[in-house]
Amino acid sequence: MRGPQKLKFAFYWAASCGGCEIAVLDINEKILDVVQVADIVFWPVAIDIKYKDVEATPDKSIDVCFFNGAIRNSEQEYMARLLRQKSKVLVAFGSCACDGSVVGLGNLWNREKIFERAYFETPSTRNPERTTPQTSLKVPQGELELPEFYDTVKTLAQTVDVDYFISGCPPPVPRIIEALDVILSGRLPPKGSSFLLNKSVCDECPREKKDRKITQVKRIYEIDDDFKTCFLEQGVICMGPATRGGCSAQCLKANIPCTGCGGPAPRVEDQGAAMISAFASITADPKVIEQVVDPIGTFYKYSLANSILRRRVMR
Amino acid sequence: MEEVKVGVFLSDCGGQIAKILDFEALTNFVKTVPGVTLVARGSEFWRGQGLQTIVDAVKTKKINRVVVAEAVPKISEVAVAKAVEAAGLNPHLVEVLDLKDHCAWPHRDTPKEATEKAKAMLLAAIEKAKLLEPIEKAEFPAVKSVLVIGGGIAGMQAAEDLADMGFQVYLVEKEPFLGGLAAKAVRFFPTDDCAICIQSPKDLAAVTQTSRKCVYRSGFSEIPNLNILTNAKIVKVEGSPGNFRVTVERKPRYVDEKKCVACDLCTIVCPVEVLDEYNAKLSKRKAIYINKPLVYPPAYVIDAKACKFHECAKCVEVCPTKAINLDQKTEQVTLNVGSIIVATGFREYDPSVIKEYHYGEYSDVVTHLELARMLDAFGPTGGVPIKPSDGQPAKRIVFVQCVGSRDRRWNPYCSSICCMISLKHATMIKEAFPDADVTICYIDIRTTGREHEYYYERARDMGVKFVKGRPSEIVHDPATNTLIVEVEDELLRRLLELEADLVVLATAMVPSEDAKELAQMLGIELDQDGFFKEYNAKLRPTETKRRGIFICGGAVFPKDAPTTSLHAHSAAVKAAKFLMNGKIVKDLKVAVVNQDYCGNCQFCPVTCPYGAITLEPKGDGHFAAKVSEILCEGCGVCVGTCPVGAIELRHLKPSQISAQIKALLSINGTSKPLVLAFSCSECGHAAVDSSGMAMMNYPANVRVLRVPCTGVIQVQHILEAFRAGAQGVMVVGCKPDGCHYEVGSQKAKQKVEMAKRLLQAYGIEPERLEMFNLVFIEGDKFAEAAKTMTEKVEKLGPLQLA
Ligand code: SF4
Ligand code: SF4
Ligand code: SF4
Ligand code: SF4
Repeated sequence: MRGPQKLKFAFYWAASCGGCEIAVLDINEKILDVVQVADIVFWPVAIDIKYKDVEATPDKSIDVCFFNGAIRNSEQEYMARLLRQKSKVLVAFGSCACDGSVVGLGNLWNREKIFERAYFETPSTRNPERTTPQTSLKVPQGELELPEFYDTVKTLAQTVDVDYFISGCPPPVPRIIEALDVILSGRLPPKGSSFLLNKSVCDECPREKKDRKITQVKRIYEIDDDFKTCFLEQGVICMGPATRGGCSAQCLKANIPCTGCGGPAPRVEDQGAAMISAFASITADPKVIEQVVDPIGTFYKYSLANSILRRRVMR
Repeated sequence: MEEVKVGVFLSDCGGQIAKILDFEALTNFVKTVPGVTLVARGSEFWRGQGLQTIVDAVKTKKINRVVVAEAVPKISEVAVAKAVEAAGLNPHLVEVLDLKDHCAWPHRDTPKEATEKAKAMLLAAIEKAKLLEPIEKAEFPAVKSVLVIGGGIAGMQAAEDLADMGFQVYLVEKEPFLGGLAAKAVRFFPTDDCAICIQSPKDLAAVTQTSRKCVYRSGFSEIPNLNILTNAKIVKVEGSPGNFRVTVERKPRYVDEKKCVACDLCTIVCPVEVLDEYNAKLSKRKAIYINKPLVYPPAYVIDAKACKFHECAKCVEVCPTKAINLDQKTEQVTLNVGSIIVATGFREYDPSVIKEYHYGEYSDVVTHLELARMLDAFGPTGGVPIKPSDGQPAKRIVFVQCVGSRDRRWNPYCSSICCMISLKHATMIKEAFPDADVTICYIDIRTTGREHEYYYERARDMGVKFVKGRPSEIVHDPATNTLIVEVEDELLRRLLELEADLVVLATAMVPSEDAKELAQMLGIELDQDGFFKEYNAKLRPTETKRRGIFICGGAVFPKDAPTTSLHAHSAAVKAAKFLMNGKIVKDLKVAVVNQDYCGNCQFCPVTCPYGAITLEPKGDGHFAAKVSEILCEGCGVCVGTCPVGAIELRHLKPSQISAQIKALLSINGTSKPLVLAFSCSECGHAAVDSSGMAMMNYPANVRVLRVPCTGVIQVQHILEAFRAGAQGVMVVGCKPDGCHYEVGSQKAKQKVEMAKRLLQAYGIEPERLEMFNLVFIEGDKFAEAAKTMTEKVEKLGPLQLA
């Protein structure tokens, strides 16, 4: 892949928080290696290149596009399709692009409910005209267009064909560096691979596993953490067992339970359901089940949009 | 991989079900399914000409996946598998479905709908068959030797049986002498023969016909292949069925069994006297002793707690055979055995916790075992019941039944033999001392065995008095040194104060002290009362959930001697059956872990009901799960647990479950909403079978997907079913306490409960998912559940997923 010519990289952000952009910067001096062999041709957060410039480049002229963010509106969908068309390799970068992430929790509602909340109900909002975003508006100067806000958040792979994945909120820096090394070396893994690990976070966790019993469910502030024993055994739900590893269990090392940003394990379709099955199987007391108040927030924090049911059924 | 060629064989059951199902339509449909290269229709395929057709197809048409629609699938499965194996195909490449009982019969009123459902069923079977892979047989070597733990009636009986059958037997007893509880019991009811009776081997020439029933004279210890280890206990069990390594710790006896001639010279010179526990502390014995009159082994033993050892050593000097060695140490022996029988019996409950009876405080309040020692002619009182407080003969004796039994404060269960023991002792006393005043205070007299009621009547005839009532208090009058038993006679409705010289407590019988520890070491379960739990009370009463480990006698529950014997024979037969071929042959229908994906969450070792999963060290503090092929029963509870999908059942892969979900829901053909019922292969499927057999009606929109155990089901499968078009999902498993895989049904229930909460969060009515626990005879309940579920989801309206 690496010839005399430099590689062409693109970065794009769709529905995301911006953290993934920071993660790219977090690779520090590695960026110097990158720019030696690659040109960044599109990166809205850092370089002023317009959509029309991208539209003008020939198809498949971008070597690798790192796409972060979920698909929440029509603009993002458009850009996903455009970048797919222009790129040889498309990488879903970060939890939002891979699994929908926190943005995907929007699938617990629909556009109407979200607008209602955002534009009328929030205490800081005064909106007597009940204005909500419209996709088009006629003004004397002509017609203005805004992207359409969708009912359902989609992942990148639900929108276009994706070559590689690197989830994480944001993706762990060492894995980003590894991914870049692999890409720069030209030894690309089979399509569909993830740049994270095959094992789960639990495998990387330093906490001690003892009797593997869950006897209660508590919030983290409700326990007197001994900083040693597995969170689950102390009653705090930890997503580590059902989450793809690669982050070196960084949250656990900071004494915070894993909330699952690595996404589902490689052989699992539905991260939340997988953890729920495990949780219900090892729970000795059925009463513990009733203590789980928010199953989606707990088990699908990062993967609702990429789960089997994808969204809540609205009535 | 070779190309998959599916042959589909459709039996119309002698034309019977062709009246309902349109076989032409089915045949045409099956032909269109990719991968199917042959479709045959016949009247039956599991035997005769039909079976030959399958064999020919395998041999000449190179069919390598066989789908058979046939009635009696349980039998057909075996017959077809055997036949294809003979024809050179792996027997696990066969999938049998039942179009009769699962489709035609229950949906006979709606033949068109039934035909559509049959298509979906066939498609599911074909899709599953395409993903079938060969499963090999494995052989595990088995040592033809058995460890029997406990040297009471049960242990001795089982040991004798097995040794006679040619197995090497190790009989391990924790006491210095064999005999167990029974040895102290003087006589047995209802025959009143002496207590230590055990059938001795027929082929022992030295033993005469008359002594064959007597353990004292049977030559028990001389049975070939039988190794008796007294004063010994189990400290470690390793290995697996067929090949256990058991570490036994032998306390020093200080007397060489082989040299001791039981001359008694040592006890004469021994200066140390202690209370004799064997004789209920009613007499004394020396520090070196033997139980009287005769026991096995016929060798003396030194009580290490009492002996002064080298300070004294008088016995060493007098011993004519130099059998005594005061420096003997505890030693450990390792036994390699193929199977283990637990026969550790039961013991008397310590009634001192029952304050109102003052046991331990008033010395004239005794237990049955203590009385038994008094009634033994060789015992401390020469067969005379006495008042331990002053040694005077006891003339007025009151028995109190159910002490610590049938009492929620102590043990809720009935110990089952104490009534008979009281009758035995009461009549023994009456026989020897007709003037004695004997009363039994009882709640119910339970005489359920053969001749037991006559025994009771005889006691009445002999003048034993019966008072129906549980005494409220035993009071001691110091002036007269008399006990007063306060009891309300429930029949006469009056309070009685019975004066007694001796009060005998018929205490509960409770598990032996080491039961818990032993159960843990062996990986088997105890029941709620602490007795060893059998695999199945009805069909496998002496087996445990761990292959190769058996239980019998009072260790399972208090029993009388005849029942104990029977039980012991059963355990012996089971152990013999297990080991007789010198190997254990098993189809590898087991779980396998892909260690590249195992994330070391360490959940599956905890959920596996058979202790089949261990963690293999992978360096750096990492572990990966590993399934023992011999211990795994193939239930899939681990699969249903694993949060990363690292474990699969070889006989039902996740891809096969998904393929069947999709296929079963791909064709509706009815006007009703589709309902998918996951059912376990055991009780759940049996209930589905029986509803069909009994021609109970339920609608054809209900589709059944069989899994080995409901424990294998993951919440993901339930969601997949909804995604694939199910409007309702049923999970049909065994009763929670009757689960064929112990915990599967209960785990499934918990997953269903959790999934219901999840559905709610997804905005889906949780009633669309329900668990049912059924057994074979509840086919009507399955049909009812299928109907109710259908009606319920019809009422809820269509489920619209994005
Ligand atoms: S705290 Fe979480 S990641 Fe760590 S061992 Fe426990 S379950 Fe696994
Ligand atoms: S521990 Fe869990 S939540 Fe934290 S970074 Fe790793 S995967 Fe994400
Ligand atoms: S299939 Fe059942 S028996 Fe086998 S390892 Fe898994 S849980 Fe244990
Ligand atoms: S449940 Fe799965 S991930 Fe956890 S230890 Fe077992 S095989 Fe490994």
